Amino acid sequence: MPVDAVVLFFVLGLAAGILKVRLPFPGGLYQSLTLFLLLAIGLKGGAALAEHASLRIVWQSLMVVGFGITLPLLAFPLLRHVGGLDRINAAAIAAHYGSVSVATYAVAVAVLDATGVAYEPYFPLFVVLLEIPAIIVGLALAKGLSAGLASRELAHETLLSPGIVLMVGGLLIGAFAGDSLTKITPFFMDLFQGVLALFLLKMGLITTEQLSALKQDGPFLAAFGVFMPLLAGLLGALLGDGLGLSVGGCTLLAVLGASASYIAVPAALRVALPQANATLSMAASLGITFPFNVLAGIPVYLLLAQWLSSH
Amino acid sequence: MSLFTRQRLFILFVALTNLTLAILLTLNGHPGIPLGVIGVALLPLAWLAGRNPAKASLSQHDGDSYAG
Repeated sequence: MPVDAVVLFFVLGLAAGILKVRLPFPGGLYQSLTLFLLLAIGLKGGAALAEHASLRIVWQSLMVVGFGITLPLLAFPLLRHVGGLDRINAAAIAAHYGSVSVATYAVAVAVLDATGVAYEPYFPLFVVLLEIPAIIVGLALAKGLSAGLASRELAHETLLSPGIVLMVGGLLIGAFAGDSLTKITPFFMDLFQGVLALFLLKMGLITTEQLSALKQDGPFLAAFGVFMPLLAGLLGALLGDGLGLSVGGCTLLAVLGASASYIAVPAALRVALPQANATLSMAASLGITFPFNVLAGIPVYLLLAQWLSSH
Repeated sequence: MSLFTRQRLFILFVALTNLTLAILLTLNGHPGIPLGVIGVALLPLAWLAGRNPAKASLSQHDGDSYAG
């Protein structure tokens, strides 16, 4: 079975990082690629939402939000009682694992497109919806239920983080632009795979940096970073099947559950839980879970979704 | 049961889960090598957990990285 080209770019980045090759990758370019991907995913979802808007999507959205609330509640006791982490760090890591990684989602979409598996085109809506609940649950676990979004700065950082604004903005533009969207389609849609490949090259380099941090911080997190995506991927695929999603939709919901945030949640927790150790969360989510999903997880979730749909 | 025993059992469980999945995938004609490699890589970590408490005790971190 051939490996997807964008995944191979990630492997190239990993190899370059391990071999300590000095690849000149400007920080501004990385930020531009991130901005492009967030907008492109939002635009695509918005256009699909305009075509497929229905009450069924509202019901599915509510269930997806419930899924986002459940995941940190599963991760937290594991981190506390098996990992032995203190309350603050356990809550911070649980919040990362309840939220989603847009890059993992983009890779999954690329894999589904390459294999010709259909999926619900309005899925970017679920990506946006899954970004926020885990942050609120994580804060409640760390500080108690009253914490919520009490601080204005925290509410701003959570609800108006650049990732959320760009994706929601893209969704709205895609939903209301109508036919004029075709003017920007060549840039945002046709170049998507190439931009994703470059982005993953950089992600490979970043992953090797995070892995070195994990070397110091314990074997437990390495196992947790592999276990959590398998558990959440299984639950996501089951939920997708229960909601009547297509094989591609079940796969994408499994991927969203299995992925861990490394952009939106760290930004919010920097404000809300400054005493938490960011290295632990980032090393697990970016150093273990992201490569696990890209290299091994996504094909497993696809097989699981195919198996569920045939039974 | 001590914390490190729980950690070792958990790591062992995750490693064996990956190896089992890898075998199942391979037997059904799918590529199981990535999961197999991950399972094998996790096995020595089960032994390593708690061998260096100063490094492995995650709750001892001072934190503060988000404040940076």
